[in-house]
Amino acid sequence: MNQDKPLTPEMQRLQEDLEFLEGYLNEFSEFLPLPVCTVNPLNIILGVNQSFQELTGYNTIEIGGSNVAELFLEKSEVGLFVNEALRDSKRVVKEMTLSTKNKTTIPVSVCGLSRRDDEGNFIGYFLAISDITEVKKFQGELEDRVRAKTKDLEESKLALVNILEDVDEARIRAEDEKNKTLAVITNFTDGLLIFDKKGNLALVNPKAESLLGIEAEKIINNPTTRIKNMPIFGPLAELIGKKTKAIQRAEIKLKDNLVLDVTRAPIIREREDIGFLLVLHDITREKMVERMKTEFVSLAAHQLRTPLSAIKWSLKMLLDGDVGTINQDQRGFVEKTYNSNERMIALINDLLNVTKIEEGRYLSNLALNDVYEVIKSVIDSYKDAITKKNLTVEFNQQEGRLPKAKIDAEKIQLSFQNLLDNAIRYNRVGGRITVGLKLLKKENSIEISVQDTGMGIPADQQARVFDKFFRAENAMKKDTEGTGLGLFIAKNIIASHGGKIWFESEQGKGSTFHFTVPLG
Amino acid sequence: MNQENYPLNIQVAKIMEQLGNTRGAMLKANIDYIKFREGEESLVAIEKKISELGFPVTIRKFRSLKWYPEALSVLIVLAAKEIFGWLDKDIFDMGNSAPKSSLVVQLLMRHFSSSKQSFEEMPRYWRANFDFGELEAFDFNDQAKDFRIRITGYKFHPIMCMYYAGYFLRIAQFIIRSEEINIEEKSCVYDGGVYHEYEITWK
Repeated sequence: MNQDKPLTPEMQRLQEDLEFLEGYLNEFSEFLPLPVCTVNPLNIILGVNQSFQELTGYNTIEIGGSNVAELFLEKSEVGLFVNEALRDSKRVVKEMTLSTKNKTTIPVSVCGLSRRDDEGNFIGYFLAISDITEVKKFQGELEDRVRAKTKDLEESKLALVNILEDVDEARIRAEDEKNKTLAVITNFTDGLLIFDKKGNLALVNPKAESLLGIEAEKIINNPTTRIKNMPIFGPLAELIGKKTKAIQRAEIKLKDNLVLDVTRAPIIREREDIGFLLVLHDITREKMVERMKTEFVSLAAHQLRTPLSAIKWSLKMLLDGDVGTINQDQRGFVEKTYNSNERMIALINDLLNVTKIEEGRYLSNLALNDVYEVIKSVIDSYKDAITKKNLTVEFNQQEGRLPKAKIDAEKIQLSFQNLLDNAIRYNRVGGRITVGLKLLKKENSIEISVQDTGMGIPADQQARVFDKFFRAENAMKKDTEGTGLGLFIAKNIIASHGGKIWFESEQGKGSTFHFTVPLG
Repeated sequence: MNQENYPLNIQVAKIMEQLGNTRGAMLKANIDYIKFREGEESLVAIEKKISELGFPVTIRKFRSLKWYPEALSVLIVLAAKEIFGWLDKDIFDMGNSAPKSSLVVQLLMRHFSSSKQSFEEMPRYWRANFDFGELEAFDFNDQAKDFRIRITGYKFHPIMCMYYAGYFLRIAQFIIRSEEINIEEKSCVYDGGVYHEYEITWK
């Protein structure tokens, strides 16, 4: 019903073109997926497309004529965006936060395209707004992941720094410990030679240098095979070359005036064999003192035994009436003197035996002997003492004749005598002594045992039973006559024969001593 | 008796006596506002009302750049007022909203590079939208913050004074940087004046 005015054909064509253009613009505006608005230089929104309305929630009527800054949280930045960027350049992009009609906020990328008239005057701009929620979300997640990763890395770094600090502290402590150990080793009064796992000489302390007359730096890192062949290590070669995990000891005379007590010990760390060490203990002075003492005892004993023998025979003659009759009182005195003299002689004999043992010249008459006869002769010699103490002696010999053994009969006799003497001396009156004799086929030896029902040996003193001059406390209280040398002598005699000696004992119930002699 | 006090059908007859065309953009802008205020269905009521008044139209066929009788534009305003019981304020808002969705206004805004220049271009706005009457813009005073526009040759219906007050206020809001802009009709053809004159002031 429009009041059509008469149009020229040209005007009609223009009219149609405009209508077509309008339709095209409308279609394009509705189709364009990118939210776009037209803004004038005063930042007033002149128009918006369909996508813009959908994104912001505002329609043309609601938002048209509004300041475009009202759309964004960064209101002050919009002015700058237009003034500084759009007026000077054609196109600018900035990330901002869109505030929609329903008050939600959307991260957006805003692209501005300035509009200019034919003379280049700034006449406004288009704003294209892209929802970058997903991008931001992804970016946020990425940043979160980066932050988390960074945090992890920082924590790891911190942990690593802590570990490094701990390691450094541990290193300092280890260094300190090493220095202390080195100080101990350096100042150790014994010589030390330490070999590593491969058998190379790793450390020589100053004392070892002094004892061996060597310079550590010249021999360090040499293998045992080469060390063993060096002249100064000659006497030590056997110990150095041993392949054993047990502790080995040896007394080694390195020179005329140098005797060493050498200990070879494995170095074990957490069950792993990491080498071995040699401890060189200088016992030259001890050996010299010991030798002088032995010589003195030997000399004294020899010098004492002659007059004591003379005294013995003189007293014997008195007791036998060879020099006239003596009354009962006189006899009593002489008998006591005789017995004391006997004990003195026994002591001197023991001392001489010990001296010989220590001088290593004890065994002299090794020959095949009947052990049974040797033992029996000793038992027989103690008949009076056994009877006097009302003891019962049981001699258990294995059935059949025992083979003869290659022994020094006199010394085995002495060993057994010492055991039997103890069994009698420390037994109770009316007690029992059981002597055993049996063949150990497997070990090719004969075992002799002496069991008593006496006072026994206190448990805390049993380890020292075979020590020289040792006497158990309960034995000393009961009997003051023992020398404390009998078991020492017995042990050395048995050891010299290649046999073993041991015992079981319970205080108040008795003891059983065993020893073996190889058949040879 | 004031024109507004006659029944609508009598007013229509008087309106239709007036000659002069306007761009479809003006009609579409009004339709958009009614749809915005009263919903999509309200357009059916408008079409029906105008048809009852003797002028059947199909609203969706309006084209922005095509010419239509200004009387039809006035009828749409009056129909909306009657159907929805709108007051003068609503008519003012309708006019104020119209430039927002007017393609013609958007096209003309291309001549904006300053407030003064846009002010000077205002007669072109009139000529772009109407094929009758005349708009004169004068006394632009940036210091006093005011200017005036004068419209001659327009006498369709008094309600349109309120409508165009809103309309020209929006144009001013487009071209003046101010939070508070006011418009006042200083002279009106319905009050014995020979033209409509609006004073626009701002702070």
